[in-house]
Amino acid sequence: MSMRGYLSEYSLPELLRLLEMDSRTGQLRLQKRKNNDKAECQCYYIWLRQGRIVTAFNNLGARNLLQLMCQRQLFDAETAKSLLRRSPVEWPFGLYLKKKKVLTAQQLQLLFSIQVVSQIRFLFTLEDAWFQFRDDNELPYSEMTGISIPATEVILPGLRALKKWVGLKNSLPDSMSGLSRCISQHTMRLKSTEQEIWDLANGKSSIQAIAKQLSWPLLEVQKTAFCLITAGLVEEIALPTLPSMAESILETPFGIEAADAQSTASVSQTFVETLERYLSSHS
Amino acid sequence: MEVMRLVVTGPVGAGKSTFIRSISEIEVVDTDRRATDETAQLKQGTTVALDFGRLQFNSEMVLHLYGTPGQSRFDFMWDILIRKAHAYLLLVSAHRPAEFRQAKLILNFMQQRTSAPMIIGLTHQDSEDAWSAGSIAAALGFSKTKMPPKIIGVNANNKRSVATAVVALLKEYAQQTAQPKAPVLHNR
Repeated sequence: MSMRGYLSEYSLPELLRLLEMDSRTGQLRLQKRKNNDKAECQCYYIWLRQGRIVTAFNNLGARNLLQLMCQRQLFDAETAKSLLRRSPVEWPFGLYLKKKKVLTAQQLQLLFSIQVVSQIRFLFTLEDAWFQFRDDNELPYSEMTGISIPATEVILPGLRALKKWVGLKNSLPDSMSGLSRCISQHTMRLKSTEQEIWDLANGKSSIQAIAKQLSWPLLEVQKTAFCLITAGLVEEIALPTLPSMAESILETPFGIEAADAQSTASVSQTFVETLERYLSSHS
Repeated sequence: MEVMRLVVTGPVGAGKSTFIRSISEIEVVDTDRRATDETAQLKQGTTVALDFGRLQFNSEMVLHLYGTPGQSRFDFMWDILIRKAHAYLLLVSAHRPAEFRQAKLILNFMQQRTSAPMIIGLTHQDSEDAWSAGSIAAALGFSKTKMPPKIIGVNANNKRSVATAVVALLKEYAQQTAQPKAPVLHNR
């Protein structure tokens, strides 16, 4: 199942959350917009297995993980290549190295942190990029440490550290929207600002009203709310922009008023069947 | 006269006005006024109030179709329409991920206020950039633990396609009214 578009339309944190929620397996490819026609396209790849991120790199043909191991001086290039040749095809390379006691779990964790967590944090800073998710590619086992992480565990720390929010400005919740908790209690370690927004996410107050109540800049509340939304703790909900007026004082639109007496009545089975027959024969 | 009221909702540009025009026997009464905000960039004349279409298919039976306001403000008009609707259709452009968030907000707004039967209609599925129905369902907040409603493809310009969508909605209505009603969650 393909999903494509621009990050300015559907942001990376939202995409990762969606892929996690839907337990997707496949490749998310990001292609940065070219500054000019002569510039080369810069691509980034994030791989997921059942909604968990397993690897991320930016050069599809290269041995990214192997190069990273050599850069970290875990072993030399020849040894690395030899180990890779001996690694089973459908085994994460890192897992093979751990089994062979070439690398420890801690070393692999560090590699994963550089390879995935730091890379994705960087990708949050992209102002825009074209994306496509495909689920018909084989997993790149030679680029995998064997470690995986739920997308939401990368999103929240990544957004907290983010300085440039330019690329995410279209994704921030509307100031007139409300926030509603997705779960009654959370177990995440939240920053005090996040906890304050969580406490006020009652499904009734608008983001603008929350900002006013906390005396915070509106943009800061929107950013913090976005963090909580993409972490799956709250959801943005629509609030009526005007108080609901008594119907009697309204000039109700076409036909609704006339039909008011029957407004709560169900239509008959005969009605449904007659209309079905009519539509089938007249379309 | 027996009247059934169907509401057609969805984000700006999903095809609500076109959908109603395709099936209405009368010239659709629309209160299109020139939009003054960012909506104007997407669509020249967007529905500030609502669209109304009608189909009298029998001397005693008539179908009313209401298109919700296209802009993102959820004003009193929505409340009136929702409370009177027998069923509703959420239209979503399959090739505009930027609108999925708004579609989710609309869906949430509707579900908080009514338990009326509903289906989702995907327009522009023939576009190269169209997302699959499964991906859109996920973007609207559905998952394996929260099953989506019936999702169908719709060409709002095609009378037959629109009729098929209305029939699908009627079937959903018939099925749901045959069962005990679920409670409505009021969140106001």
